[in-house]
Amino acid sequence: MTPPKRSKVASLGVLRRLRPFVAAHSKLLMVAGITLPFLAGAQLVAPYLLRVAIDRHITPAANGQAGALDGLWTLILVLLAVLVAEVALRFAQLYLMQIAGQRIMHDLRMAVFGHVQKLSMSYFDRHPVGQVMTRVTSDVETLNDLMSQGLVAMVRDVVTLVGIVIVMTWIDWRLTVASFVVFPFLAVILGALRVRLRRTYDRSRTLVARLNAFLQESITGMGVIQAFDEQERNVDEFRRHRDNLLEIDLRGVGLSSFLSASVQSATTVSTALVLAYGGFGVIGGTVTIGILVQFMEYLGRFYRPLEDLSDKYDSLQRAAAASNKIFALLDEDPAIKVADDVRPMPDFEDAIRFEGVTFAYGEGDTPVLSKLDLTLRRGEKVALVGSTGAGKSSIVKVMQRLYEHQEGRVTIDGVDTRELDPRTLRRFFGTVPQDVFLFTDSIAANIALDEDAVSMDEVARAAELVEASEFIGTLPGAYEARLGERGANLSFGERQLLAFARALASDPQVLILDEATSSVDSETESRIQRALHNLVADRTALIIAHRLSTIREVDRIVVLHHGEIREQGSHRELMALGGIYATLYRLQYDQDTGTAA
Amino acid sequence: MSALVLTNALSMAIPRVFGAAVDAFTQGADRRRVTMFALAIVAIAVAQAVSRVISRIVVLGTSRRVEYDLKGMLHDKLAQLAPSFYDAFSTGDLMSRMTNDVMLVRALGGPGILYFTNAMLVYLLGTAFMVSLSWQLTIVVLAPLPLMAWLVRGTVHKVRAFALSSREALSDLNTVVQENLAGAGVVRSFALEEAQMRRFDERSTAYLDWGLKESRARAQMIPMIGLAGGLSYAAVLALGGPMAAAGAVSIGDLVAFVGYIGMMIFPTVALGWILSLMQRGTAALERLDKILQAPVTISSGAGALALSELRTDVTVSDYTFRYHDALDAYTHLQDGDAAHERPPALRGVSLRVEAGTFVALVGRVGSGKTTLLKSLLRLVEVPPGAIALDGADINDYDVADVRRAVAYVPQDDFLFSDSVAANIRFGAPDADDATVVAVAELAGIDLSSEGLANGLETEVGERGANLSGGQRQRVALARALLRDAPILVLDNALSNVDTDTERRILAGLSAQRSGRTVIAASNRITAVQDAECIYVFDSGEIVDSGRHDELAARPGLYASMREQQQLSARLEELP
Ligand SMILES: Nc1ncnc2c1ncn2[C@@H]1O[C@H](COP(=O)(O)OP(=O)(O)OP(=O)(O)O)[C@@H](O)[C@H]1O
Ligand SMILES: Nc1ncnc2c1ncn2[C@@H]1O[C@H](COP(=O)(O)OP(=O)(O)OP(=O)(O)O)[C@@H](O)[C@H]1O
Ligand SMILES: [Mg+2]
Ligand SMILES: [Mg+2]
Repeated sequence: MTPPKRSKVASLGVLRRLRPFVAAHSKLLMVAGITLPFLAGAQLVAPYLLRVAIDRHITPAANGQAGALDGLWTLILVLLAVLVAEVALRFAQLYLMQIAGQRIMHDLRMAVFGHVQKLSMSYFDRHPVGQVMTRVTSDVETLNDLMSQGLVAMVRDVVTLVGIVIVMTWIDWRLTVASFVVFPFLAVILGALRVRLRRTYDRSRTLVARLNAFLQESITGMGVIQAFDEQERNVDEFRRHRDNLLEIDLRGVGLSSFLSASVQSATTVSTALVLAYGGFGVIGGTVTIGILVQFMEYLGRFYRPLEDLSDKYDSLQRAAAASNKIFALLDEDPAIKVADDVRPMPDFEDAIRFEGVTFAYGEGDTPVLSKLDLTLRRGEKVALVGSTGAGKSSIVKVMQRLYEHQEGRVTIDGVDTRELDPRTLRRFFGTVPQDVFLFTDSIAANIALDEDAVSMDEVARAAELVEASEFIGTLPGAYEARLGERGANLSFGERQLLAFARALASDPQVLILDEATSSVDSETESRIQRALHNLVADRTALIIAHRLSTIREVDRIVVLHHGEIREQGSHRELMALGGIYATLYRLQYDQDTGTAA
Repeated sequence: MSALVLTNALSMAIPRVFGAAVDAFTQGADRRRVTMFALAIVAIAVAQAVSRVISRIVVLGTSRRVEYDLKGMLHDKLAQLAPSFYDAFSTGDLMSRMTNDVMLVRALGGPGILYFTNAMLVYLLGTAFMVSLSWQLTIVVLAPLPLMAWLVRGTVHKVRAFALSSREALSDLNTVVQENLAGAGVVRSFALEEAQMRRFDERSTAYLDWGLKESRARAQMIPMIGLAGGLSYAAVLALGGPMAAAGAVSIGDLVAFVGYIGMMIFPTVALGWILSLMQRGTAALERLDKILQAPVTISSGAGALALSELRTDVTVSDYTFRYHDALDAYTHLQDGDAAHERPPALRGVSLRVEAGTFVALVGRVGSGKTTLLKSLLRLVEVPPGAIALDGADINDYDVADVRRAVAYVPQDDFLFSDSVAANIRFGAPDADDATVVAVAELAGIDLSSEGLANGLETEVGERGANLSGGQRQRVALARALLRDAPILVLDNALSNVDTDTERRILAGLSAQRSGRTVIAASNRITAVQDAECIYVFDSGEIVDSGRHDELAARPGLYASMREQQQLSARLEELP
């Protein structure tokens, strides 16, 4: 791996950024923390009781000392009491930690999801759904392990470890030294594995996201895949992604196995050292058998959590990799900024103006709109026509500030749209986008969107206006009927009608129709137009359509070509001009009558 | 597995060695013997390390392999399942199953099995070693185990039920996220961010609640198991003390026993954790099994006819189709309510398309055109006897053959996030560049930098989001044209293309048609007027058919549609 990559790899430091999330639940964690010393204490007391039992009671008894066993029963009762207390504490601690851990996860999910809501469309142009989804759910789930089990257990383990070392030193420092001779070696091994582990997990998270993005796309595109009988290739490709991931994951398994084996051997070697050194002590009379047993127990209790820690360390590295991805997302700058002092939305007395607007989707791309001037006066109905890819939909997106333009200004009554709250600005428009998107929800919810703001009557009226009420009536449950994903259980025309009704339901000041009836038959379309006639009489509307019959009642036609306005005026004026519009018009009109004749 | 046995046998020998050493000390051993005992343990340590690395790599590695095999299996299945399956299961739900649930199964298969076998081996070997020291003490040590099993019993079921609910809650959460991301444009354009946050909060909280219930049940289980271990300690002292006094066991034996209990406590506690892993894992497996058990409703019949060299006459006779019939096949796999009855999408439709002709379908919104076109590719479950290709039932052919014979431009112009060229090549990966360019031109794709920023290499983005509506449709058209199939099916394929481009494309197509059958649904009269026969659909039925001039001449849906598209009169009235 090349050095520059290193900086991108998560270091454990990234976990520090979880602090505010953890701090929000500090009370709960504190309560859980109170149990820690007691738990650690219980861990320390039990071996001590064992030692006392062996040295004071059992050994003398075995040596024939009468009455030596007398105190043993009390000792056993104390031991039992300690153990029961430990159990109770452990339950309390586990549960509290789980509560805290899962709440933290919930908060983190909310934060990530909330941030995603702030990201602009250009982010989604670059990042597939499956990948972002992995961040919001899977990556957060990966932290779950650490949060609800690891974190506390780790604190507990560390407290226990420190306690054990102190007690051991207090009893016999030489024996303690003997117990920990191997420790530096272990530290070296751990250090060597650390970087590799981290890199492996980081790569693994990236590949997981890629696999999921692929999977998500296969699932959504399965219809097309099957129509072209390309399942086999799709399956092969999935396997390729999967095999890449498997390779990395197996490397991770190898590394973590090595880690865990190192810790285990360290325990065993330490036992040997204690035995050897302690054995010499027993011979020399400086160490009792009870102390030896106590040490052995402590070693068990010392390395067990350590071994556990090696697993935890593993999940820590995994968590670091996941948080790295999560925080990279949280650091993603929302491209559409909300001004510090947002101006109130103007009343729209005058006009929406594009003043020399230049816009490209990506930096350095050829502009889609160049130096565009366009005026949409209040109450005016304007049609945008032009060949495909001319930039019509882009105008709409810039007008709603779904994308940020590079040069020029877009103003409403002279106020730059960048000084407005984008959400207020967007609510000002009612849009039927070219790509219809419906939610997996009821028809009513899809039309109303915000069910507090739009009443059922308004929903029904909007549906009526766009001629959708008839087919809605045939659905079981009518307005309460649930749609499939993206409206999969409706025909395309039906979906478009719902999107149309949705734009009308919010009763917007400005109506934007981007190919709003391209999948609707012209009979239905003309009925909609008639129904809308009165409604939109005093509204402002921007209508994009290739089928010229759609735009027959507009005040002005704007002809767009390669991001520039070429012609502008009424139908009659443009016909007289004999330019692009006149050609388009003749094509539709003449071709039709020509054959009919 | 043998590595696992070895690791454990070695570990289990340590207390034995330690106990023997203690006995030796009490009897006054010399330094050499002490060193020997220590070296014996070091030797064990080395052997242990090796066998542990091996056993972990094998078991955990296998669990990864199992995970990926499972993913592969699931994906294979997903590739076979009919589109109706995807009507019944949402993408977010399927994604959740394929990721989160598979992860739990892996945890069951890897760490779960590892620790479980470990625990069992520790018990087995520990018992053997202990019995060799003192059977009475062994009984006492093991006595609390049944108590533990009894204590845990009820909890295990609870954990499982909660685990299942929590999985479902996670699926719901995933679905919200998936929709929110897929519909990012609508969310922003209608300023729905807050509503979406509320929705997400709701689902996330539900997931949290189930998770906490599950945790509580799990938390109850683990200390109970710990308690059993503690009882063993007390029992050994209570019984062992007097026994040692009576000389029935040596102090070294007692030390060894204490060592064994120490070794068994952890696996016992781990057992609690394993039990919960098992509960979650099986709950997850159950959900994955739903996918694996889903019936494949569209497949090649046994002894399927091969469709080669066909003339491709298409005959549709008295075809009635209901979407919910197909959905019934999946209802037993879902907890939600069954699909509801709706009027049939097609009702007694009969038509005939002779090979080499151009046939058009027009009609009202939702009148069944797409359903009929999808049936020609068997993308919906066609009932037997409804559609015949060259006289034989469509269901008798190999599905792949049918789909290869029909090039399809769906109404939903779904593109893959790849380059324009890769998308065009989708159905014919081996096509050379010249052919791709020729097809792209035929489909009216403007390859100049003014049209597509990077020509054929332009990345189209997810679902083709980085292209304009019309560009997307033309790429979808080119993709189908490259298939060079005997039947071309166009479903409103040019609805977002301007009339000028449309005319050029149609002219190009008819020049290149050369005996190919074209079946096209469209809302534009200009696109269908040259058809040899036009079928007019209304509410799932064919209400009229004929050539353009015949239909235009008689009053009816077609004539009125045409009239609406006749611009002259009204446009001239404009100011
Ligand atoms: N998200 C995007 N990222 C990059 N380029 C884009 C994106 N969306 C559109 N484009 C490009 O911008 C140009 C203008 O697209 P736009 O969607 O505005 O065209 P349009 O006039 O609406 O066309 P149509 O009639 O086909 O809908 C096209 O060349 C298109 O490829
Ligand atoms: N997957 C589905 N599940 C249930 N019902 C469906 C499904 N797809 C379509 N329908 C219903 O079947 C009927 C026919 O739909 P179809 O898509 O065939 O119409 P269409 O003629 O293509 O309409 P359009 O011109 O709007 O595309 C409609 O009422 C529609 O709601
Ligand atoms: Mg557009
Ligand atoms: Mg259709």
